[in-house]
Amino acid sequence: MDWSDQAAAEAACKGDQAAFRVLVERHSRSVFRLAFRMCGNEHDAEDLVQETFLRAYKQLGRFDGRSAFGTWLYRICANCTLDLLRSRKSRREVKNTREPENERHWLDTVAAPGPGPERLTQSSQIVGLLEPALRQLSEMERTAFVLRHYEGCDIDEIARTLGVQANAAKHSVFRAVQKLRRALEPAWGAAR
Amino acid sequence: MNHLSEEELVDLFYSKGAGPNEHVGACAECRRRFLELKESLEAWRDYPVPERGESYGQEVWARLAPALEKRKRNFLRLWLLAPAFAAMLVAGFVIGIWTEHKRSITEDHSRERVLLMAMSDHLERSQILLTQLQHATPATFDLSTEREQARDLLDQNRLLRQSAIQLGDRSKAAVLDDLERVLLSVANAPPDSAGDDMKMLQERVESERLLWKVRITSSNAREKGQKL
Repeated sequence: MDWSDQAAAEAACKGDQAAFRVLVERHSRSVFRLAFRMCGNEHDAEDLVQETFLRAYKQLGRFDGRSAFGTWLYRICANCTLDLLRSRKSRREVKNTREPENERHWLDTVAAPGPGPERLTQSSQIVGLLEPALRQLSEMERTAFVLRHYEGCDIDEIARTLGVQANAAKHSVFRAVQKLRRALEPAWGAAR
Repeated sequence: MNHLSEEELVDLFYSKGAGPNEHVGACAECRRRFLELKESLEAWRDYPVPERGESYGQEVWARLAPALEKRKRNFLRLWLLAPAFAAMLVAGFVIGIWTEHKRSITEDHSRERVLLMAMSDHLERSQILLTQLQHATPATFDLSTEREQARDLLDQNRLLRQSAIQLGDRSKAAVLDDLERVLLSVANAPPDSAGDDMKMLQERVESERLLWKVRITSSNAREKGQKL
């Protein structure tokens, strides 16, 4: 049966697992992409896909069809990832109080003479530095940036996902861009 | 000319041309900054994501389906167990009320039992005193010992009479009231009581059949107390 997202969501809500299967098979790849960009880790992204669909299944009754099913699912995925990043952060904070030498790890990778900006002449190498730089953003900044930059979400959608005002969402995107530019500028300058 | 802030340039980039792009077209400085920003942001587009094949959705479903089944079973089990939980709750409530009621009854019974046994003891001691008075020879009888006994009995008699009134036991309260008046007369009798006073006291005990009443009441109280 050729279900539309809306029809499949309605049927799934009534307990039709075949309909939910259609939604899972249709949206898994895009959810994985979003999860990976938000968490930067393949294994975590796989877990997040699973968690996103489980949460979506539980909350199907709340899907009112006002937004596209994919958008609704992205919001759930973003929230699952935020939860994961926040729990990781709190664990890392506890760990860092015991191991302060870890603090400068990523900065060393970007700014230290180690690999040297002179070697970073290809933009693909900038991409290699992107993940450590993204990891330095707050969860909100990273989520806002990924949703804006990679998923093309508008500010209102990001604000709804983060549960903040539009201005705060917009400012989070800006702060993320600003931090990333500062972190990557030395390498980018050399590449140019 | 006011140049655009970095935030405005970022906003312009993501709004894909909508917004203050006229200024960027006219201002060389802003155009230069915008192009730099655009170059950076576009370079980040190539953030590589591990590729997932066409069958990825099916793989996700294969992992997900058992968890959904389990969840469905748990949900059903919850519905089946819900009436049992409700029944247990009601049973617990009823048992609680019954236990509380029984405990309350038990407490009342033990209180009444103590009272009845104390009353029986008191009446037996009073009975001895009354018997001594009944068998005494008025002309020669020395009341000093009985007066002391009567004073001892009087305080307890008052307490027992009040308790009997509170418990609504009018017959016992009446016997104790009669007894109290006699005890009061004995306790307050002058050391040199005349034989006539003594005789009047004996006649009063006799006319009110007090000794008999005290004996019966004492016996009943003991019997009832033992049953409780």
